Amino acid sequence: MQLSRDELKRAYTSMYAIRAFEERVEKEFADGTIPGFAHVYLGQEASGVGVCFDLTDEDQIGSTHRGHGHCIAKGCEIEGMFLEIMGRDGGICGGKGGSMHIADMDKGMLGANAIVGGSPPIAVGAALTQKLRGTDRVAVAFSGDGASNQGTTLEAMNMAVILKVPMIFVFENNGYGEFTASEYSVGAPSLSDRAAAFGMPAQCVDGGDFFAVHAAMREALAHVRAGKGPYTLETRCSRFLGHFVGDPQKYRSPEELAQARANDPIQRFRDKVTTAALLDISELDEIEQQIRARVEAAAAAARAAPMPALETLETDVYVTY
Amino acid sequence: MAIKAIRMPKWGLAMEEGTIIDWLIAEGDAVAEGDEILEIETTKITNVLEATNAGQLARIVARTGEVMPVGAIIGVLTEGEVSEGEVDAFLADSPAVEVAAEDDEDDTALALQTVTVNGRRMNVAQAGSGRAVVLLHGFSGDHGNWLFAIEDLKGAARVIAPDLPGHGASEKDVGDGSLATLADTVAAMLTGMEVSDAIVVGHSLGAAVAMRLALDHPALVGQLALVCPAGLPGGVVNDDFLSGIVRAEKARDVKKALQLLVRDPATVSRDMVDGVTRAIRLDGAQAALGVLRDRMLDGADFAALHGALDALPPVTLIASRNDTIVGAPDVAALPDGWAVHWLDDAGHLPHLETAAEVNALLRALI
Amino acid sequence: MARISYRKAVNQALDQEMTRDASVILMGIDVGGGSGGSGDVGSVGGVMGVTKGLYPKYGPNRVIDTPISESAIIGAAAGAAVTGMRPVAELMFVDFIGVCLDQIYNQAAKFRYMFGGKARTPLVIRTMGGAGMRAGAQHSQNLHPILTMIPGLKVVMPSNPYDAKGLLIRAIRDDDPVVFLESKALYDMKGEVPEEAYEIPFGEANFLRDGGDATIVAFGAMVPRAMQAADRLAKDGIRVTVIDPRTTSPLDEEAILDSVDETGRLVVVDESPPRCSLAADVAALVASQAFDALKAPVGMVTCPHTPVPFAPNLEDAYMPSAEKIEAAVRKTL
Repeated sequence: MQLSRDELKRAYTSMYAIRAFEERVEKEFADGTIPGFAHVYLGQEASGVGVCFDLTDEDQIGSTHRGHGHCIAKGCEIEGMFLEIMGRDGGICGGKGGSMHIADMDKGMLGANAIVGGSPPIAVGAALTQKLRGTDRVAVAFSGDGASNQGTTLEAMNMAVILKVPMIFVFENNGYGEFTASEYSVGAPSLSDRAAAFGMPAQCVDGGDFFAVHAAMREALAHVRAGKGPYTLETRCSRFLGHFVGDPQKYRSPEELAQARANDPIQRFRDKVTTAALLDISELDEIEQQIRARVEAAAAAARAAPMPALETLETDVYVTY
Repeated sequence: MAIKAIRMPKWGLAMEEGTIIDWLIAEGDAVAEGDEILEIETTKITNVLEATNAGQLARIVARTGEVMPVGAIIGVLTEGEVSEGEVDAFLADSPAVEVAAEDDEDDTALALQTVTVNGRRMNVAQAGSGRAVVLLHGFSGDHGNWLFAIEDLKGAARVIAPDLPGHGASEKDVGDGSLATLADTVAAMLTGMEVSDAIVVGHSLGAAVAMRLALDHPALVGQLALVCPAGLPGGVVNDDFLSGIVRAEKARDVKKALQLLVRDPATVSRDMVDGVTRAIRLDGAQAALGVLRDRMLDGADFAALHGALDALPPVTLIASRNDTIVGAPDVAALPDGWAVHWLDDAGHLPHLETAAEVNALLRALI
Repeated sequence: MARISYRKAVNQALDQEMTRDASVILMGIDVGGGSGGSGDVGSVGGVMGVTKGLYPKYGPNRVIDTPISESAIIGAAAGAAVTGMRPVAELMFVDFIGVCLDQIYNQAAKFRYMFGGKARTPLVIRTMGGAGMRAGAQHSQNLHPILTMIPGLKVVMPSNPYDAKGLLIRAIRDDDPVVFLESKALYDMKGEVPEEAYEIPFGEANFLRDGGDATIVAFGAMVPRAMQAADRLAKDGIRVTVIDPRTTSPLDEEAILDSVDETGRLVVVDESPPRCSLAADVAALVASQAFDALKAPVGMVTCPHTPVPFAPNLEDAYMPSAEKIEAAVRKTL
């Protein structure tokens, strides 16, 4: 199904926002303005945006430790995200969550999750809510190849099947769980093959191709919204950087790293829409400029923002001792 | 020569055991019938046990602090010369716990029943037979506030003590919370129970309900006894108490409010606090009490009573000089012919604090 | 007022809340029971029969039999909670938290704080604990200390039928995750319970008895044992205050400190190994905040630092008993 010009612009805006945001994060991290760790989504933009493109604020996603891209694809404001990642007052989670715990319930973003395999059971519950309420909304659990080996994920897949909930398990297989290749750690030819064992339909698509991900997601949505139970979607991705910003990636060959950059999902999107004359280069460039400006402003504002008030240390819990 | 067991009394249906708080006399002391001999903490309040015979306290069996079941021997009373050995033999031969048999079988046993009145579920306690004596409790109370009165009166009358709407185990729907609504509900209940020409005893808010009942349903009410009544000329409404209950979250909040009711705060027992706490935690109870509170503070219902006092049947007014909840009524503003009794030793709960005095006044009405 | 069992009190609370609020659902292993079998579905109501009768009344969408997948059960319940339902998940025995603890402490308990106060997770985890059933080391523990130390989690230990109903209703209406730790030793205990629904607030200790000589603080199934000890002491004229905190978090510190202020003597009874137990926790509270009030060292009556043994005589010896509690109180006098 052909997307309209406005839809294509929306897709590119979202993908490029992730790109610009994460590149800014990389720089900020190097400058020391981001405390802790940062796991960036560079190179996987087409996957997150392709999955979230047809979701509304009422559809819910659970994310991973590499969650910035999912947040942006689901509609979280980058201004609040920068504040959060820098641990500042006014962050999406008041500076209490940080990079690995960005959540925005109003956007159906149930949280980045620093526990590998943390989200799938929670997304089953979100999908159960939709089923019991009789809506046509769905829940999505993003996992990586690493989480595919967690018991929680496998329990959740079985539970989702037997409860027949409207849920999509998205496995973004970027080839590495931390520093260990999925070739080594996943004892199956592909992650999506495992779905069959749970009695769940699945597809495996090129995660660098927005259009492939989006088309597969449409099929997945049609399946789960028809009340047929959960669906599995594996998107084969390639991360540009390592597990975290600063990971020298000695465990990946220079050829592999070059190949990842060569398959840049942003460039592939540009090539595709301009070759087919769906959008003009100038339109894409204009989007990029606008986003760059917004990202720079957001980062600058976040750097200048105050830290959270110390009084907030003991708020948002029911009791302190 | 006679030897008698002093047993743990059963004050009210719920009482299963009591705690010996203090013996007021020592072994060897002589007592006359009616003398106060020891303090017992019950489910409601600490109360004094009076001697039912004259004699001498020969033996204290249950000491201060002990918790004894109802009917358990707690002491031994003797008349004339009785040896220690005879007391030992008496104790050896007597059942350690004896539940008064009469209460279980005859018509003085307290029975709780649930009746549906004007669509509302009402919980009502009944005991005894004869002329109907209707006991209406006050704000945030229940029929159990009358436990000493019921115990005293049930041998001579048909005692009927409902939980008012919003209270105890009765429905929490109080409608507009007006005296008329409460009185109508009580009226319908009494009519269903084939009661007429009753002696209606009301305490505090219950007294105001009793007056409204007498005015709106005169056939039901032969005479009134008003104990620390709310709503009389000169009276006040202590909102520290009312809102203290309406807003209470924890038992300690309830305790604070209940201590306002009595002259000696120490007499408010843990069980009394727990009982009220449990009642107000039922879904809807505090909301219902809030409606009643607002209505009382509004004052219009009370003002309407003031204009109609002359129309009431004979009234016995039992007022307390140390009542900080409803204050002291302006006796000069009351109709001639009201029998007014002032109590000196109680706060707002004389039927619990100085039960013997109140019971005697009530008994005289039957 | 009806006298009903602790088991029935829990069932009644679930029943009334499910009637009141359609977003209340039950999920867990055999909460209905028999799903997919060739006989009656919903005839079991949990391994102890606590949820019996609810499946026939509310059906499979609200009484949800799950696979034996504790992580998925608790995680899905947390996910349903954070998206607007009020799930009551049953974790059959608290011993099984080992296979789902991440979903409890890393997920549900942290959502509210970690997400800056924007997430509400009205999740109840019903589970049962405690020794005395000859159930062996992996079906007999009482792991409330592990749960109590988790910020964001409320932990309830009802000790009687009245409290069980009121605390469970409170738990279901609460917007934070709550672990409701039932005592399997108390399921048949009977007590007066109002037919109507009512709430007991968290963080309010129950005073079962007042006495000036010493304070006993006991949790869950230890409360009746503390009362037995109090009865025995009363025969010698020793009057003790018995406090049941009802919830280990929030803890009613004020009640404990006020009582110790009056009595000067404290014995804490906790069915748990001693290190990092609630006994140690309460002792530390009093030592740090009411040291001047103490007239004697704090007594702690706990289990030994062992797994729960199987042999009946060993298991009996493992448990805090009325005799041990009585002796501990006498030691403080």
